Amino acid sequence: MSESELQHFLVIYRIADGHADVLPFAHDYKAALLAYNEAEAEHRGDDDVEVVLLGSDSLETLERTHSSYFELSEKHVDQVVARDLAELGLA
Amino acid sequence: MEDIGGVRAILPGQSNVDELVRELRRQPRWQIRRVREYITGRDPGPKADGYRAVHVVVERDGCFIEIQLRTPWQDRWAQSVEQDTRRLRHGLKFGVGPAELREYFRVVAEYLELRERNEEPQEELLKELSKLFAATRRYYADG
Repeated sequence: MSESELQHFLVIYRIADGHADVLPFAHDYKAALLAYNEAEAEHRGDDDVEVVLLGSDSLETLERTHSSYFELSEKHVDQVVARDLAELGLA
Repeated sequence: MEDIGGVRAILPGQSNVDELVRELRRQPRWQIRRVREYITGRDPGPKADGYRAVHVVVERDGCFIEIQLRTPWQDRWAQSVEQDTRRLRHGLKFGVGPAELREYFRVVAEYLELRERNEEPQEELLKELSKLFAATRRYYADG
């Protein structure tokens, strides 16, 4: 993937409810950076919000490479361990 | 902190990660500045908290980029730690937080490594995992 193919996404993640707002900026890095700076300024000092600017070839890839912002609890390793231990009669 | 940019890729297995590292070493465009294999039996081995991955730092046009290469289970583990670091506000990702939770994640990483390699975990490891699983239920909603 070349730089020109990179799409930019602004992620505004609310920690308390685990919700991520994702704003797509396609290939417009300048607009994405501007929006990032604005969001950062808006939420500065707010421990409940994380603002991240990420680049990827698609939203689908981003959801895989940065899944902690998107995935539901069933993808958490604790769920895997719970299932495995239950099958072995150890939980 | 020398890396100013970061890239992450999730590959199907450790052999694919290793092949990509070989490719990176062969290509002439980016200079390899450092390779850290946080993998059992390699240098420097898994991190103390259980983190597993291969990190390659490359330099191009004076910029350092850290490339993080993970298998699906290594990534799932790291994303879970990341998620719990935010959710529990314990600083788990940075090596702080409740000892039993940190130990739980360390043992889970060991367990997942065997699972990914289709190897049977030893009884000792399963017992430890089971004990830590019970000790950490308070951190999970349905615990």
